[in-house]
Amino acid sequence: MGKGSKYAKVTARQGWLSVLPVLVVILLIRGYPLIVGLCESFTNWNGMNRNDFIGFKNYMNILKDPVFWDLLKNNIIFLLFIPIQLIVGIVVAVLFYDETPGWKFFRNVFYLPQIISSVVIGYLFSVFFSYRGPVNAVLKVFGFQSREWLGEKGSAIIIIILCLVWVNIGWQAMLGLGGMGSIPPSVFEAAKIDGAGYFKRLFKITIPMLGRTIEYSCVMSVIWVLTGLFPFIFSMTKGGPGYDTTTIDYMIYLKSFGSSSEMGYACALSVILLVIVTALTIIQMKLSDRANDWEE
Amino acid sequence: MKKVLALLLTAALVLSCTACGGKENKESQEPAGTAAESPEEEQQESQSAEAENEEEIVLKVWVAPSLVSEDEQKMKQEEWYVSRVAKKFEEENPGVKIEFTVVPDQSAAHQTFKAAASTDSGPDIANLWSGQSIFAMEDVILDIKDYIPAEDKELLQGWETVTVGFEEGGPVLGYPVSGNEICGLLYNRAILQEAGLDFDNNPPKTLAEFMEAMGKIKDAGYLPIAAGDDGWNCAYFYGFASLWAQQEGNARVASDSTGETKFAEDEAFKESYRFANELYNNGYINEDYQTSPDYNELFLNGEAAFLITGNYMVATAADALGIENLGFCGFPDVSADAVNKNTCIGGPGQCMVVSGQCKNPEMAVKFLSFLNNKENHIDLLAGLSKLPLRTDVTLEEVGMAEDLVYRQIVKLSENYTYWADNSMVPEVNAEMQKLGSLAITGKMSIDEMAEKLDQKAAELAQ
Amino acid sequence: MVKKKKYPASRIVIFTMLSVLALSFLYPLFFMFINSFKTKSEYRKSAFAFPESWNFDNYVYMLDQFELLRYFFNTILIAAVSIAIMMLLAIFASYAFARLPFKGRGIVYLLVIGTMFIPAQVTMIPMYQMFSKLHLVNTFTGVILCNIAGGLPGAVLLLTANFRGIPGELIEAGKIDGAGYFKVVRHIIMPMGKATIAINVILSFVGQCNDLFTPMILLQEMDKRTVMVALSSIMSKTSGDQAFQLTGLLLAVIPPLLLYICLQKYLVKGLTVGAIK
Repeated sequence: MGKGSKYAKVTARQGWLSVLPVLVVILLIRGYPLIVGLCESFTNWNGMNRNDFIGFKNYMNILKDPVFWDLLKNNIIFLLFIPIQLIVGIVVAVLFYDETPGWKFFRNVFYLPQIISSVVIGYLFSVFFSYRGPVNAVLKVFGFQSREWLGEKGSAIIIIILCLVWVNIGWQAMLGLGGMGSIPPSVFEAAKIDGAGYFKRLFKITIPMLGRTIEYSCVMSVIWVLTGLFPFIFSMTKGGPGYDTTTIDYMIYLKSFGSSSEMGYACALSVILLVIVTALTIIQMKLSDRANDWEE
Repeated sequence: MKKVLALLLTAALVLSCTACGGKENKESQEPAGTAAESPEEEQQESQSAEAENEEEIVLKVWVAPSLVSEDEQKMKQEEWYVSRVAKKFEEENPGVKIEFTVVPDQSAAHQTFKAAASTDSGPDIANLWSGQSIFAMEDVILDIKDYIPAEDKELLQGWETVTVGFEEGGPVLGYPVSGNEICGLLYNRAILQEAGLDFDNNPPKTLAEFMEAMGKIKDAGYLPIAAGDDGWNCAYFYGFASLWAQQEGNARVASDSTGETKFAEDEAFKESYRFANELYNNGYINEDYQTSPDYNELFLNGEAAFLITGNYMVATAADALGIENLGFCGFPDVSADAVNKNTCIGGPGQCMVVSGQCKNPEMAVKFLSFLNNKENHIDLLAGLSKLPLRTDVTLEEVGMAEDLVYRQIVKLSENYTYWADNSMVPEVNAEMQKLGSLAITGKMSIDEMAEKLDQKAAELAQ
Repeated sequence: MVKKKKYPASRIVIFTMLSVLALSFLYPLFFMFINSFKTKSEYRKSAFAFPESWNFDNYVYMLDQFELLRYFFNTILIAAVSIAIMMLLAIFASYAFARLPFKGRGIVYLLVIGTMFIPAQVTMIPMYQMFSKLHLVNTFTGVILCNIAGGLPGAVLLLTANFRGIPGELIEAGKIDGAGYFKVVRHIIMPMGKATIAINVILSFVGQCNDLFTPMILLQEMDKRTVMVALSSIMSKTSGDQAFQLTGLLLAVIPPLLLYICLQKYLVKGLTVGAIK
């Protein structure tokens, strides 16, 4: 980094100016509600006039409540879908890149679940795995007993994970394809000429070169699992049975937009969620920075 | 490559133009507040414009999707019931404009209404859930007690559901609307006949007799009761809750939820869940009660004898099974000393409230009164298959008198018990919506649920 | 090319597996399609069977009476403007985050990314109140601002990651050739990142088309609604004609799908002739 100080100064100014508009927009539109939310987390705000400072009571109540820990556990279990999605998605992306027969058609079709409303997808999953649904009908033919798939915690979670993977394969494949777009094709050609086999190329070249893409998918998926599962869970299990498939963001919805009016509580819950997600993201970024630096 | 670049460049150019526009807008608004904006902005600024524009009054009205009937959804917006009423009202009251909005998610609308009520961008009138939901919002809703015409008070039913504390004398927070909903057991007469039962003339008098009857249906090869949770413990609140509420009335339901009395000590409450649980354990309710997306179809396809539902389902069921084949009843009385016998769940669960921010409360109430007058009430019910809320509207006038099932529903409605879910504090209700299906299917003991509900109530009471 | 002839068996397996997946992805569309021709009671009776007759009534009602096209216009207008502005801001900012070191860059980056972590439900009410004070409720401007702010962090995250991967020599070479700041962005960064830019546009567009929450809260007037808000106002718990709703949801898939199909050609082999000399 042997650059002249004047050059560095120009760069720094350009940097600031480039970032400034984004910073302004974010601070204005996201910052204010965020600060309000943070402040309200110390109150018993009901969304209306009741708005008294109650200190850390919301936080204490949340951390004391065994339900919160169950919800957190659910969230963490749902994170399991990420590695599956990552592997399947990247493999699909590589197949597309290698122009496997019919890849153009598949590429169009695989992204569909992202486009279709989660209401329809959740409904179809709940119907397919319902007691009198097609899945049980098929299993019956093979002599298995009918089950209430979404009525028990274990199987309900597995089905939700299945749904999440299914929905996200296309997303992951698209990202993978985009990421491979910035790998010079010559790298692959060279490896092929060197006689590297399919798996060797996958693990030694493609996946390391996709480091940043994988980082992005992981970070986004973690955020999504912690803050964005609500529509799917709502349309599949409504968080049931009991709280068995309820996640923290679902709970925040219930507290802030359900029939409850515990906005202060919901704010505190969001702040806790914010802390968790931020911590996870920083860890991921640090890890992937190390991995990527090592590669470079 | 060149083409791509050119494309991107033109795109970037166009974008930068809009970008500047966008940013200017935002910046100019920061200091100047109301400063120039698009014309649409001015429209919604009606309140402030009022004074200048020859005093045109604009009433913004939020209505729930349930006020737009299925048939209307396939018509032009101008032909909807709400539009028709608004137009008539505008004609009768020159200088008044009704702007209505169908809110997509009524649950979320409660929260948005709260947020809007502290600003001036909210509606003047909103269609919310009656009972505790609006009581909890007393701060931002106008007490319209003094504006209501005497005629409406006399002829319209369900005022208790919008009166704080459910008792006369408290602040009145709105007009009950959208007709009576009566819930209970819809039955398939043919199946009952096959099982040798006659619920029309000789229904079971006690819970034990009822249980026995269900056994006969099962022996005849049918599922006795189709029911579902639908994510809000719906079969309980449509049906079993009447066993709870009839014993000591809704006052007990409400006081359990506020923590004054305890769920754990409420025998009627526990009995209602115990009975539901027994039915389930005996296999008299579909096994997938908790998750079933298709329990209605079990009944509609003639596989189940009973469906726990509301009268809104009658029209659909009549299409599938024939109206002459349908009957309707409530659960038998839970005990001989119940305060409210031969009852069922029901009442107007919907109401229309006037916002505390409303600049023209008199006009708003006038509109609500107009919406609920005889002519408009008949018009509304024609599309919705609900029962009249007005005592001066007869079944003949809404075309329901011919059918036995509607006559049975009307008979039941004479002594309905108001929704238990609307009678509870919303947060406790939310907890019961979550846990109820566990208790009914036996995954959680009733005592454990009662304890958790008491905990929730105690937490809130602090 | 050599490999292809070598492993025909594995290729058949791969093809079969991809086909099975593809069928499952197509199924929801197929489900909506067959049900869009049914009446309500026919749907109730058998949601999975073919319709008894091919009846286009639902489509006619959707387009003619329900005036779905008007809501499409709103949706696309909002999405186009917000994505255009958002991408412009994000490209410059990401270039700086990736390539222009300055003091405090890490913190600013984390600040921008961090706003992604907050669930929308909680910020929505304060946001509504703020917008209400600024008279932005019931205006497209409000939703657009909200979408821009909501989409920026994700866009910055993806673009920055991508721009970091652009070989530094390329930029240095450009600068030595006398390219200024804007020229570097326009002629080196944007072409190199066009796959990522395309992905971002797709993600944002799809996200905004399916977003119910923001427009539902901020746009209350009937004629300013987006497709999803309009459709969800005819879906209520107890009533509703599901076949009719599914028709609407099927039609709602069309714009994002078209955009995806149009843009995906940029996804593969972004680095073609000309980028590296």
